[in-house]
Amino acid sequence: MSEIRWTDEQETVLRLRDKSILVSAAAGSGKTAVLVERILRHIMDEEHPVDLDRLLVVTFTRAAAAQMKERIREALFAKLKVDPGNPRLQRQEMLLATANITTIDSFCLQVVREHVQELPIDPGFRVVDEKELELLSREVIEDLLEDCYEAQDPKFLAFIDAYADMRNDDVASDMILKLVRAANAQPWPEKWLLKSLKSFEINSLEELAQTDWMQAGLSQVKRGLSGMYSLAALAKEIAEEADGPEMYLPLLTEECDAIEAMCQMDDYAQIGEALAHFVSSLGRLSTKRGTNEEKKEEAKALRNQYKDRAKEILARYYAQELPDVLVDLQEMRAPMEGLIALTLQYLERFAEAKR
Amino acid sequence: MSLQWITGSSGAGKSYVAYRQVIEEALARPEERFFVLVPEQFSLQTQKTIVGLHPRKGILNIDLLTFARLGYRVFDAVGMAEDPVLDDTGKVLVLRRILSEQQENLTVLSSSAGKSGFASEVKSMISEFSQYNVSPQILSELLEELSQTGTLSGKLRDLLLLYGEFQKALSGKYTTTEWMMQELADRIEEASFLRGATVLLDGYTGFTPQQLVVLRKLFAVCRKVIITVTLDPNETPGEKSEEHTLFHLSQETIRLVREQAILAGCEEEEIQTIGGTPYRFRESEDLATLEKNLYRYPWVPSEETPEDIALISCKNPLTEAYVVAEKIRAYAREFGWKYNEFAVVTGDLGTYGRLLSGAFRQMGIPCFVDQNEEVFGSPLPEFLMGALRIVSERFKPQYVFQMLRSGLTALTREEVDLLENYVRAHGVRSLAAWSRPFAYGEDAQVCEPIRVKWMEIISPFVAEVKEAQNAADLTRALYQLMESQEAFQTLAETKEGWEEEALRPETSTSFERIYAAVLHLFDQIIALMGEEALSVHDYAKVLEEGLRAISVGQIPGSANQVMIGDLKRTRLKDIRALFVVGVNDGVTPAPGSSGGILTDREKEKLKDLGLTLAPTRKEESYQDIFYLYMNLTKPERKLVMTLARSDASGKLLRPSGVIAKLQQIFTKLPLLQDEDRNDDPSALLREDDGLSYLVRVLREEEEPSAFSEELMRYYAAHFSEEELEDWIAGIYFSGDTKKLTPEEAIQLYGEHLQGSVTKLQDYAGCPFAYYAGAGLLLKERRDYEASPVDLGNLLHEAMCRFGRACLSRGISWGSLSDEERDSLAEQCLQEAVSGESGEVFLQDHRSEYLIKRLSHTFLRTMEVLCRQVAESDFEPLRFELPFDRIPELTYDLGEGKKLSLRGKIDRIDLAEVDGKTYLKVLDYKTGAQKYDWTRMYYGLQMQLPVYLKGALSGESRLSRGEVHPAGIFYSRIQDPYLSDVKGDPKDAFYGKFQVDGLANETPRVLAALDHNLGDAEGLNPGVKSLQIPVSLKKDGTPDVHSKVISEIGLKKVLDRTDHNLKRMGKEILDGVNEIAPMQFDASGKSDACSYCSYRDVCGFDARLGGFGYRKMKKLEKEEALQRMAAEGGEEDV
Repeated sequence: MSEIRWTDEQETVLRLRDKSILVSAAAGSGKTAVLVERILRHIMDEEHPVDLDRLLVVTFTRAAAAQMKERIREALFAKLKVDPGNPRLQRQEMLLATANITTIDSFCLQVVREHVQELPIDPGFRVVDEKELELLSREVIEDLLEDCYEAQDPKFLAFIDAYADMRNDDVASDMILKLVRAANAQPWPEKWLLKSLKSFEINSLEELAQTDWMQAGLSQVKRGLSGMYSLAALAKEIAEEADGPEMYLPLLTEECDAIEAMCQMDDYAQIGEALAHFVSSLGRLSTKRGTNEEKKEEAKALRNQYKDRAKEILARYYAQELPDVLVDLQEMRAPMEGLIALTLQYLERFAEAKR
Repeated sequence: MSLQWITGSSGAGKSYVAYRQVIEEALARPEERFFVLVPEQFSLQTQKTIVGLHPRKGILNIDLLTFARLGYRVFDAVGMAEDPVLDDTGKVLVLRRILSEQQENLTVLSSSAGKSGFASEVKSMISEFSQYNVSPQILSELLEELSQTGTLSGKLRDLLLLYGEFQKALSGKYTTTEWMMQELADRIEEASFLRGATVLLDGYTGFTPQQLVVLRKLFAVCRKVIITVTLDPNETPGEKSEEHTLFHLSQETIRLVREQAILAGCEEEEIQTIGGTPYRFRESEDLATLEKNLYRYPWVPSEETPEDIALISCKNPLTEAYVVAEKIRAYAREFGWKYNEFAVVTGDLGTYGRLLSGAFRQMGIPCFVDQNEEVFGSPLPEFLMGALRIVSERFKPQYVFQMLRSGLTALTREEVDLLENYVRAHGVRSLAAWSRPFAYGEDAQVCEPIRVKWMEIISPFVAEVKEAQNAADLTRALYQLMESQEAFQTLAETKEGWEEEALRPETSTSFERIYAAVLHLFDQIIALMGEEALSVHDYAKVLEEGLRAISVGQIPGSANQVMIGDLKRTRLKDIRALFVVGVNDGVTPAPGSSGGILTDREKEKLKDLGLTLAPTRKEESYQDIFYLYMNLTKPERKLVMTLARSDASGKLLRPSGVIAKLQQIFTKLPLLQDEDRNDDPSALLREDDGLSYLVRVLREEEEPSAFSEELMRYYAAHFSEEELEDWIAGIYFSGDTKKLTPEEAIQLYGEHLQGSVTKLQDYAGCPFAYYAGAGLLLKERRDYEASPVDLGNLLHEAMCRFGRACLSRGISWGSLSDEERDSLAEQCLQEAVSGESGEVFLQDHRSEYLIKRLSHTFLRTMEVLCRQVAESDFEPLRFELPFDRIPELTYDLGEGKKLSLRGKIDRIDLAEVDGKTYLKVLDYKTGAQKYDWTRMYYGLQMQLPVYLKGALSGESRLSRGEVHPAGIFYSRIQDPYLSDVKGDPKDAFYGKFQVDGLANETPRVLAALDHNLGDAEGLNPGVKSLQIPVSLKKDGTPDVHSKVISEIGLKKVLDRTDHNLKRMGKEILDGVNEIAPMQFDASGKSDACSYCSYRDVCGFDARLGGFGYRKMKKLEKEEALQRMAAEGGEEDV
């Protein structure tokens, strides 16, 4: 074990103390080995010794946790072989079996157990098994839906009308559960759910433009345009070369300028219009015979590429007119409010049912 | 007045030396008294050992005691009246009350006080205080030293309050086991029988502070106290040791006991240390080496390959169980050891106890699982909880059947089954519904008396619960309910039943004890909280908690059995071979559990302040190592450790660190892999005479091998044919149902077979499905809910009403205005809902709303259907037209046998075209249904042809003229989604309803079916019909995708269907009922089994030999027609 030669970066990771460190490296590059060595150096540190039970090592699977323990054990054994009388090493070996080298699940469980007094959880709680959970959840949903149907909240009914098929409303429970899974992956599920409603509270095209996803869409479109521009510029350059297909030059220049103009635009709709115009008014390349056949083909291929790119952007980002998008979103608002209210109620009732 | 230590490592013979010494002295001093104190788990074993060692086989002046029994003896001797002992459940009940009274006075724990599991936490904490001699006074003194703020002092203050209240509540009425120990210490001096006595303490690994005080008193009064302690002979007893060292616990014990001896003024005799190779390992050098080096530093690695230690890695815990069982059988044979000389221990008895006892039973090894069994979930608790929830949850069916399914009511199992079917089918969900006589359906007559019987049981209970003022009343109501059911007698019967069937022999003895425990719980509830006014719901919670706390221990049934125990808790003695199973990381040693009111950090802080409590997790983990050492050094001859590579659910597991530890001591100790157990012929020695092994060998072999032939010869010679047949038949199970004889078939179906087309389509899919449904009349259990079938029925009926209303008013569908159409449709649906088929939709708000949505669908569908009529010459004339035994659909099967079809034609439309009458047949579908040539050809789609044949014959009879087919179509009832609409959305929506089937290709007929296709003058080139599956090419003829056919072709389709029906009828009456599902497409994605209700009945499994799908050749129109032409006129089958 002591034969290992660490790289400079690894050595830095091993040496650093009293800071948070993020180690990111390729699979098989020795992250775990470095971590094990770091743990060993910690517990062997003469000046600031740390016992194994004062460390928390979290992994994602039980097998990974056990493997981590095995590596530490091997390293400990190797050291003990050389120095069997070292009480510090002996103690670590004894502590290893119950050290906090665990999966994230069992660590969380331990935190909950130790602080159950501070939580709204019964100290006699147990971890429910999947089957039981499913039954419980189904029961809660059934009761909830029946109550909602009785209450006839218009937003709830809007949701049901929009999504349930004629045979049954199974889709409602599926959607609740799907949303619950997504929400529960967030630190504050309820807040997240309420926040996601904001995506539907859009009253004007201006507001629409300001949404995160429209901004993301815009930047995607612009990235596409600048890709197109590089292709067009390259095509134009080839046409300008000495034996290039100069008969292409006028059209290529025109198109290149048009693309460049589009690149300058910042308005989503405006770009869409320009792009649609660009695609619908694409001219035909001159059929005059050129000098260098190869360069001609090259320019042609490049042009085909940006033509395709343009069509792709249109199909992908401009399938629907923005005012229609706005209408769709507004139409979706009531059903989504219904769904989210339903999901929030479910969360509340389910938590109650678990108690 | 002297203390004598006997020390030595594990297996050295300390107990032996100590007992010998006591026996010798007892013989020499017959007038003196001798006491041997051992932990509870050892008492039986020790008794046997001492009797065995005693030359006169009697122990007149030697008494065997535990601390608790010493207490009783002392109290008895000093004439002390004892209060009844309050057990854990009782303590929790008392604390529950205290918590609710004191909630406002609590600080940091106040929010916890309302949680139901909290009382139990407080109980554990108070017990711990008592055991560690922490009185309320000590606590309050400590509190003064602590800073006034902070969680810890807050917790302690709250605990102090509860502790005090608890003592107050009990004082003069109850005692607890911990207080008895304290009392014992106070009164020992008064007990004259202990004066001058000799006391031996054996088998203890340490003492609680309470026990230490008892020891001090014993030192003061006894002549001599002998204590055995496990300690390496090289260590000096009582020397300071580091916390993590193996014998730290022993050293601490010696130190603490010595302190008490000094306080008592007791002298210490010379320590008797037993050195050398421990006696236990006289026959096993390997185990001696293990003992000497395990968790010792430095250790001396052994280069030998040990013979007496084995490590085996198995596939999963179940395999481990079998490996252990087989090894036990092997050792028992080889060495002649008795079963009680084997033991199995593990860190996870919950998982392994069950697996091991199962495997042992199969191998005929008697065993005893040293485990308290929780009773929650067993019949009596289910009965009680069910009864309470019936009241609190207002007769929800699940709780009614929780109670009934306990098997403890006067209802038989069959009665409960019948009742449940009825309740599910008719939605009996409230007390009101239960109180009304059962009157619906065919089962009503059978079920009504059961309902009456059931109501007689539950009504008095419900009435009493409603009257109940407090917990005591509720408890009495439950008790009466129980007694009225003779629950105890039933328990006894059940117990006998279980014993007879030997299904769960390890639990059968517990049942009467469960009953006793429940009665005890009742007594406690009445005594400790009887006056509390609780709602049924809250009472049920209290009872559930109490029931959950009940666990019933087992009493070993025989002396000669393998002990299966817990690594930490079970104490073993005189073991030849020890098996440690589940030697996996996180399993063995078991990870410590954290929790409790005080955290480990807080306990450490208290320890610094001089207050010792139960060990922290860290301290426990050191102790675990000691227990592990004690266990691994238990066996005299063999130590086998097994581990699983994955758990039962397939999750990977890693070996425990113990494995590496052993391999460090024995550098050549291999970790063996479990051999493929199927190939292990030792299975032949199993209890079942190896028959299961034979079956396995035969099943896996493609061709008989010399080995299996030899086996067969052996079994053929030793077993009767009948005995073997059952076993062997299982191997070649291929689902071959016994074909019925023609006579049996006729008895079952009659000579005149009558059936619906759909059932016969099922036959085409799989003969067994027909047999199960139409022959055996198997049905799926009905639930009272709006099923797709109910929905379909409702829509069909509404549709039919719509058609008939138009007919009677003499209006065409096509001429209705939007308003007329909508209001008529709405009215028809409402009529259907208020009829019989709508009943199921009125049960709850959810189903009611389903109708609302359905009406939307129906209205939209009617809008389209009316437009379809408006754009064609055809007018709907017949609706839901039934046919039964009409001559055209009756087939002569020869030998006097006949097949008649019956069914209902959803809709027939008629039109005059070119002076001839044409009709089209429509079948409504709520799902997608396509006409498919292949399916038609193989008889899987016969509805439309059969309906057409019936319609043609019926209409021609009515009109007394020739009637021609215009087409056969599936028509969909739906509310479709539209996406990516191009063109007019209304047309897009309309197009979604395009019917599917076959249209008569005659141009005039096509034009009549859809005016858009053309008119009397001819067809419009290039038009695509939105109504029927026809598109016209530029030359005005239908394109290849159009589903059109000539009248002659249609005739062939009808002939083919006739041919299929006749063949099937003949086969059915011949008794064909094989399991032979049809595979619908080559990829195997869909087959007759996909939606078959009988898939669990037939046991079809394509992976087993002897089973297989029937495949059909995919046919396109042309090929199908050619084939049918070739068959034309053939009447053979």
